[in-house]
Amino acid sequence: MRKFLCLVAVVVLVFVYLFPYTWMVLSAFRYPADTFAIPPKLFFEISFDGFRNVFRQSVFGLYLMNSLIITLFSVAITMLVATPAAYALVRISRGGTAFLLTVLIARMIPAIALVVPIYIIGNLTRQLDTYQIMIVVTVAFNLPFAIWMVRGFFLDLPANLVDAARIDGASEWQVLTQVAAPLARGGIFATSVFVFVGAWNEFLFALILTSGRTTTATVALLSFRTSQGIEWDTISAGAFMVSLPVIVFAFIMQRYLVEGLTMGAVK
Amino acid sequence: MADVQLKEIAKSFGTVEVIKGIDLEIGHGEFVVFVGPSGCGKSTLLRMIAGLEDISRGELRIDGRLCNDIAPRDRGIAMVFQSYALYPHMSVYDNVGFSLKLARVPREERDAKVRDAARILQMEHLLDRRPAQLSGGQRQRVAIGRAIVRHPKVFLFDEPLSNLDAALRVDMRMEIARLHQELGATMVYVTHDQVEAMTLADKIVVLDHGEVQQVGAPLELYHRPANLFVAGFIGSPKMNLLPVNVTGSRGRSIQIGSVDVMATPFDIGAAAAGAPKELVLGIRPHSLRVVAAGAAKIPAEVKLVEHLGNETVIKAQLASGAAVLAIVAGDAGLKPGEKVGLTFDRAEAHLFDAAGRRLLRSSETAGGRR
Ligand SMILES: Nc1ncnc2c1ncn2[C@@H]1O[C@H](COP(=O)(O)OP(=O)(O)OP(=O)(O)O)[C@@H](O)[C@H]1O
Ligand SMILES: [Mg+2]
Repeated sequence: MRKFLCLVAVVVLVFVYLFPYTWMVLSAFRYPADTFAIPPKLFFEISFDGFRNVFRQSVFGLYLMNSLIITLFSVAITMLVATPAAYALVRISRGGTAFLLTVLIARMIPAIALVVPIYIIGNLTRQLDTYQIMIVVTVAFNLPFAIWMVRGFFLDLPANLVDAARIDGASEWQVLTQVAAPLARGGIFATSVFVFVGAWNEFLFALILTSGRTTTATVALLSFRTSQGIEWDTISAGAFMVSLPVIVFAFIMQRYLVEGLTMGAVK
Repeated sequence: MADVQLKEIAKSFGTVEVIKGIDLEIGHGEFVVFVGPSGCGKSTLLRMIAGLEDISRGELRIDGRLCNDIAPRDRGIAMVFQSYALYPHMSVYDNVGFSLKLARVPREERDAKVRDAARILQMEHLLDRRPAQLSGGQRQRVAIGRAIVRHPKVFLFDEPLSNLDAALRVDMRMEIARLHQELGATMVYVTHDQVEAMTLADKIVVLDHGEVQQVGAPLELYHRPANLFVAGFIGSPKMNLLPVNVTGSRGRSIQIGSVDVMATPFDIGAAAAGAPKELVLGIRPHSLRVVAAGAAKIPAEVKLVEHLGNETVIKAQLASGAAVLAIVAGDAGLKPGEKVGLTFDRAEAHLFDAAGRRLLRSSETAGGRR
């Protein structure tokens, strides 16, 4: 009986979470008239007009590529900085807490407050509408969170492992690369999934700092809202394509996420 | 092989001083055991020798070389942890060979050394496994293998056996004793376990509250504890401690007695003249003998009798209500409620002053050590 109730709860939850997404996916594959039919149609004619329009009305391929370049570089740089930083914060007790709090406070400043100053800086340095500025901004906004999260996984490692490695002759860098990081691998991958999603979904800065050359896919979706109204099939098809890389990335990392969670139990 | 010298070594965590100026000499090839109650600073002291904790004050010399600011890997030490601390993502082979790999030892030489260590510890068949696939005893073997492969000058052990069950602990204890003989290396060993300390040590260091209470050979600590703390800590079950009064003194000897203990003379040499009024009498359970009531120095009533086969543990109550333990060989044939007398050999009894220091007998002060 309890099992049954659990199952019902799970089904309801999944439905609530997935319904909007499913609706969007369906909208991408049918005519707008079918989307808004009342009562909702269970069966409908499949249409690829939305997808065709996406590529006809904009250089959507370029925008997807822009998103991918900015996101992948941002994730790589964020994790390459966050992992050693988190390790150092675990190993160095003095001043570490103050630094962590500073990092957190920096994170609490709302992005909207920084858009204008960053735009002005970008303008002065002639960096507007470049990959660099988007990557720098994305890394800056994701780094505090990434450091905090990876730090948590390092804290969970038994302290004696680090001691043993130091006695075995490992330098701090070797302790990190050969013992701590491999053991916290699951956690590091989990963090990178979050950073990936955050960077991929970034909208505000892309809207302000890019124009044309490095416009990202999230911003490009906006262009399907025309003065004649919203083209629901087109915008849904675009949104569907924007959502795919996140799902793919999370799927690839899933194996490591599970591994990261079970590692601790073995110890 | 190397000697280790500690001079005025101290350690503070923030404002709390947990190691308070320790002087200690550990000789070439010696097996030294640190014992003491939980939280007395044994691990901290060991970790300072290892280089895992900074030394707040004092000097540490290994093989004559000042090591205060030298990295753990350059001290010529190896350490075995209570939690084994094996690298879970590496095979046993890689665990043992990790230090050699870091030191860029050529592959063939590394392989020979790893296999040599595995042979010494009889774990050649385990080399391909992961730590998670090993039993507790096997894990500890690997941890020891990881230490010996480096040929350290000094081995450091922090309660290496306390995660093992009783039977395995005995086996591993003998293994460690064998290793010490075979390798002839200096070993420093931390333990809670009396038996480990007594059987393994050349020299025991008793610590309490970050201070050395006494240093000496196991039997020396047992027979001549320097103070009440050591008397209570070394020996199992614990020494019986009874408060007594000094009722008189004559020449080199004093007379002691109390409600529990009938007047007994003690020869304490020159100290007799200035002896304090109140002392503590310490007698080990094994030093008490049970005799007929009325004929003994200590009248008692039997409360509890435990027959262990080879010996009998008797819990008895004295006139003041104080409880004492006596252990006699064989089957004593006593019953709870029985009135008996307890007697002891004065040579096996100890007197402690108010500060806890043991009063020396005249045989000890005049003739030095026995
Ligand atoms: N990193 C630390 N920060 C603050 N205090 C510490 C730290 N490590 C140890 N201590 C304190 O130092 C004292 C000695 O600790 P230590 O671990 O050396 O004790 P121990 O004798 O090994 O005890 P046990 O037998 O329980 O292992 C304890 O009071 C402990 O609370
Ligand atoms: Mg300890």
